[in-house]
Amino acid sequence: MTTERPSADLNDAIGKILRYGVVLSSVAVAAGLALMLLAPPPGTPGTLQGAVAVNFGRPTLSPSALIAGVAHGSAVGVLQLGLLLLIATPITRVAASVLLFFRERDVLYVGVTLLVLVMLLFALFVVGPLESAGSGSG
Amino acid sequence: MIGIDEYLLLMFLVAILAGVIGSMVGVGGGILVVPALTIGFGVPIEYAIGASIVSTIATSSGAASAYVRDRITNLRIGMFLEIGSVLGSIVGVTTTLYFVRSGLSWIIFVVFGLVLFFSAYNVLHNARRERRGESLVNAQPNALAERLSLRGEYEDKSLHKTIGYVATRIPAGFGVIFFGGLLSGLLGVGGGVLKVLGMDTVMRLPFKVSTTTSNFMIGVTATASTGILYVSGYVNVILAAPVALGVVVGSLVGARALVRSKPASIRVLFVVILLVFGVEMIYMGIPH
Repeated sequence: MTTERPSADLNDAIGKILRYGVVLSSVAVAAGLALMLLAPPPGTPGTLQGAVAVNFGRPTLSPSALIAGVAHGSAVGVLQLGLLLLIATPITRVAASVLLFFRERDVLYVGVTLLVLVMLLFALFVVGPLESAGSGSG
Repeated sequence: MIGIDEYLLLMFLVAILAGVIGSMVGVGGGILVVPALTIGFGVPIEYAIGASIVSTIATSSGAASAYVRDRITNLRIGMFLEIGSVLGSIVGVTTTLYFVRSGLSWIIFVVFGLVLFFSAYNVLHNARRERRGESLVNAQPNALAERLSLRGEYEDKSLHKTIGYVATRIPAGFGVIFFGGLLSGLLGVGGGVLKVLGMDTVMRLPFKVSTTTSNFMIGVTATASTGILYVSGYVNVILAAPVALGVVVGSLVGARALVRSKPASIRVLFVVILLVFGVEMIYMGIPH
């Protein structure tokens, strides 16, 4: 039909990715919060100040440690899974847009969305670790 | 001293409230999260920013899924401008981490206070803007807009007509959007105020297209800075969890409560909260 309007495909696919992403992550975060209240992991500091002082609740960067945490029903592991799902939602949305623009033969916007995707991955895998190293012990 | 359990429950309620008010006024409630965490709970500002920025991904994505289906959001304009906002966000969060490590956190507090004041002004200004209607929308051809497909049309349900629009002053708009991304990364907020300004006032897009497209962009913008804060250890999942879930619940409640009308009393309440937080943040920032 008209070229100004992105196809129904694109709108619906993006709408779905965003909706499912938020729902999935919210379920995991809700479950993690319930676990945190009912069965806090061993070593949980008693106070908020105590937790902040040692950064208890800092996410692990090791995938195997995360999987182990979730498998054991650790509150921190489940919460981390929820937040990771949330961070993955916009990244998935951008990656899906690259594919959908490719299918529409919209070369310009394949480039635009690819550039945004590269910047997101650059932030996560290059700038993040650099900042982490700069923080000393973290 | 606040117990972890007390924090989780209390912050969950505060975040719901922020989400409700934010979605009713049309500004994300995210701007209330950092002041609530720093002033209310004494959380260091870098951890408050880490918790807040995660929540803006949730509110943005939740709301965007509905607007995208309604075909008001302009996907191409949003994705093009994301180049600027994501770049700004990376610069912003890097700057914040530099301030924190150099003992210059007070600058973040003062900038945050000023942004709260500006947001208060903007909430009142938008009320007038909505009443004035879409008189400033550009429909004239623009060569750059043509080349980048930065145009479109949308169905205005209250006016019962289709409104066509073409972006104008694109480089200037792109610059404002970059700055919006920078503020988002610097302060851990959505930065929607500047994104809307760039699209509506500078690029002369319809107000509704600007607000929904801005919201659409916020999730991706925030993902860049969240990724950096997450990897460098400033997204503490215990601090962030009640905020993320609370604002999602709150914005759902707020959106259900009011689809179109925005009562003046909620607006006034929001402005008062913004001003009080603004004074408090600047006070916390000034060395004394």
